[in-house]
Amino acid sequence: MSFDDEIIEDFLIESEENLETLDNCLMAIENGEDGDVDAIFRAMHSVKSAAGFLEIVTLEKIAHSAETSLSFVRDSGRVLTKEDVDVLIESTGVAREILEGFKNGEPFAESDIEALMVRLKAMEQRMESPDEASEEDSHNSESEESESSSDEDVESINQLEEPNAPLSVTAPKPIQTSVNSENPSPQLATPQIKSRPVRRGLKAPSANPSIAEPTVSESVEASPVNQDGVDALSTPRKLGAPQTKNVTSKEEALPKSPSEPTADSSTNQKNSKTPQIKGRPVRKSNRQTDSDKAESHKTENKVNVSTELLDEIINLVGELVVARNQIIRYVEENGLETIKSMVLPISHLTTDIQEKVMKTRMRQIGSAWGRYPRMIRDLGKEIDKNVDLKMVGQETELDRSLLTMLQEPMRHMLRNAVDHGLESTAERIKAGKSPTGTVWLKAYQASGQVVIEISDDGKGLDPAKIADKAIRQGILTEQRAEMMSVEELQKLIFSPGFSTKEAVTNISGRGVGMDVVNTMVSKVSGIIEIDSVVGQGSTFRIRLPLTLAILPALIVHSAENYFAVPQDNLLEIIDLRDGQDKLNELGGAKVYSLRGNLLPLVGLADLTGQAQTSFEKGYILVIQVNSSKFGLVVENILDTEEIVVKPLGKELHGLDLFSGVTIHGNGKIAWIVDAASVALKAQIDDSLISDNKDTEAEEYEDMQSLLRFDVQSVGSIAVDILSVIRVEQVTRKDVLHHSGRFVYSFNGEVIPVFTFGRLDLGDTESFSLIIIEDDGRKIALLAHEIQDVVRQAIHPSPLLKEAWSIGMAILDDVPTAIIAVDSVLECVL
Amino acid sequence: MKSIRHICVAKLANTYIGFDVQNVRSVYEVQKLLSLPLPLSNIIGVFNQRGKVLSVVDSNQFCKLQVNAETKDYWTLLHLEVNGEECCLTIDSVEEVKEVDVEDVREPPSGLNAAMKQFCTNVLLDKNNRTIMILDFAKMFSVLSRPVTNA
Repeated sequence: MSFDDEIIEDFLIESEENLETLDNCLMAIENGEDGDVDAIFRAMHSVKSAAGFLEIVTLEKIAHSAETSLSFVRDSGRVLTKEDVDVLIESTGVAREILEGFKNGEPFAESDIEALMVRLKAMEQRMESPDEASEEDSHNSESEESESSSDEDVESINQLEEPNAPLSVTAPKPIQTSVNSENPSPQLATPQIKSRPVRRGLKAPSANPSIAEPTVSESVEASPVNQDGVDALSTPRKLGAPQTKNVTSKEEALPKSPSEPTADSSTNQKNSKTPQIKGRPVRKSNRQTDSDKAESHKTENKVNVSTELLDEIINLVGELVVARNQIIRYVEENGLETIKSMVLPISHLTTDIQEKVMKTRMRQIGSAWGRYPRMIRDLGKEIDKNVDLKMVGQETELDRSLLTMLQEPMRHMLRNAVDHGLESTAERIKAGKSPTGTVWLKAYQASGQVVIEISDDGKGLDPAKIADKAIRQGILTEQRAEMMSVEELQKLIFSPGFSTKEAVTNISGRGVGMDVVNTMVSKVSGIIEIDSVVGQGSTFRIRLPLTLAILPALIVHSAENYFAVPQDNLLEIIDLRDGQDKLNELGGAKVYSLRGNLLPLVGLADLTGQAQTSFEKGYILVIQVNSSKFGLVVENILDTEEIVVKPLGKELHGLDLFSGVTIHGNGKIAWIVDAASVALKAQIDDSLISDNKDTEAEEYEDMQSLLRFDVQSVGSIAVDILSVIRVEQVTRKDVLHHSGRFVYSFNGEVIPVFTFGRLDLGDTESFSLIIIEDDGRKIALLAHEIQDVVRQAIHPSPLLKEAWSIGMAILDDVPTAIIAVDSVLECVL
Repeated sequence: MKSIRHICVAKLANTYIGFDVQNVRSVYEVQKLLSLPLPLSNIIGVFNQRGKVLSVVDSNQFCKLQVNAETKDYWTLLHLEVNGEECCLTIDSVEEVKEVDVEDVREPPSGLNAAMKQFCTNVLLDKNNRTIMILDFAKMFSVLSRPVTNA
């Protein structure tokens, strides 16, 4: 990466951070919460400075104009109205688009920002000439201060309903007072202590700045803040140095706007105009609190390290672990006790280093959530819903690669929660709920996993509605829907093409979302759970591994190569020596009868083409990919290990069965098996997958009660019990032979006897006749021995189909031909 | 003023080939390579170089040069890197690092085979009367990393 590229990358990252800060502060103000005008000013100023440095004129103009207005708020106690906040929020949105254009080499023209600039200039003018009403209000500020806090809260809520009502941003005059305290004016020398100094200091700057912040100690504490009220410690990183300079001498940095107030003019304004404050106070920003100091200290202790360098360090530490393992193995094998005592501390240190280094991959999950509040706000406005987003657990750490991959699914689920989950305001009121819907975003660690929950207090997932829609969309049949549980029906939202939304909007409703979300979460070895109660809301719970860089895997050996099979895909291991009786061959393909289901087998050695897989010994690894299972046959199993994943180089992309490589504890290279690619290559495709789908819903659909019986020289046969009307125990003399066929007299009706290709009735004196009926037609099936009634889901293989059967299935570990009743009738009648 | 390039000269099947030293990371002698679990054209195996799994390209085959049939006790490998992508080429030996004036290099001759025509950017005739074919590793790697390379 060139120097210029590095600067641009830093600029984009820092600008995005600043825009997130702006969004969060502005939305806090919009919601009637404390607003930190200094933070807003600082962030806007940083955006402006950086844009100026890189000559992004459009962005610089927007930031400059916004900053000018903010300077009135900060320095002169002007008040931000709802309209002002809207303009500022719009500015951050346009700023993002400009940054995106800059990144993609598609710069914005000045004409593209004309409309916004008009609004920004209008805001500047409003700031310069506050209206009369505001002035009147300001005269009453003193009396307001004595009001109870509850009154203030009520006012702050009320003001939000008026578009031009002043919001809770005030000028932190104490900042100016403190910073300029070296030459205090006579006014400053006479502090006036009020009854509630802290709140007042935050809330109600008066004509005399000294009133608000009277204490000298606060001036001293505020010393790191420069004249513009910009905290030098919190300025951005690489670009920070020039920015800090710009901040302290902003007049030099850019041509001065006529409307931009000077320190003197702001002082004059302070003396001449009393800003009016309503609602909740702005956070006291000029005073460096303990938490601010701690934050500054944290910033000082952090450095930027490129991810490439971190990856290299992780790689080297991985190698150190391998070398350590080799030494330990050698020492133990040779009984070198003296050296062992020396090696152990090195071993512990190596483990510690590895743990610490792996932590460098981790990022706080909140770092990826910065854009969501703004997104939810804009979405709420777009579809006219009041939405409150509450985020909990932003400090939870997750591997940065996982974090990146989850961005899009998370965004989609949040949009769904607002668009699909929450009711309209009218519906909420009708349901006795708060008009404002709440969406929660929570993250926490549990059982070695990171859990992310997206919840809403909306209408919940209605299983009946889902079933109805799924039936209409042809995703399932009515019969199947009736047998499905609520949870199973709710999971249908992950079906491709499914959407309960009646109308397609630009937000959602096309039914491509949750399927993709589920796939993407699966790709990072995560799962999604749903908890939903109709009328109360829904929770989507994503469970994720802590990291993808280290995976628990089973190391196996096959055809002179080592392979690592990720534990996530591994269901169970079967020793082939104990399971020879359950091995079958269908149409040339090996299958294993696993608890009544046919498990297709794939030899790893066959796949790689290096040897022929022996099915007489070795192990079957039962692998699950999505809803299908298959058995991967390997020669030998070595151990389970936490493996460090190393990606394959581009020149090895032809090895599509493997997702990467790892170095085994003995220094050997092990290829990480990509189960999905193996399934694809072994043609465990949809037709085969349907033979062993494992979800309960599918089981329900295929669940049948079958009467199983044996026929001499044919084998085990089963017939659907619903078509059986009677089983008769008969002797040879009960069955007649006429016109080359066997017949039986049943309730005065002569019906044919079907012998499954046999020319006689076998060598037993007595046997059974199973009378079946289909569409009024009856037939008797020859059965030498009735076995039992089996109830299970059957997945007959069409490979072993007879004229009278639909194929072969395994019932209670016995290969059994399943009768096609209509075909039998066709054969005989 | 002379414009100088440094070229690492290696010998391969009686041919002298050269790479810009900017692309050369190291030279290894490796006794055993791990074969690939699936055959890939041009790649004869991989090896573990201090935690990094490096692929080894059969240069004779890749450059369509005369195949050296003799059995080797070890492989001499030239570790090359371009734009963060790296792999090793099998060579017979490394000769030297030459200082080359760019004005002394010539256009590749017309009789080169298709592969060499693709990779050879220049030819240098040195004082020892050796013809050194200067190869572009970036081009070589782009061919190597093309999809569908299964043998």
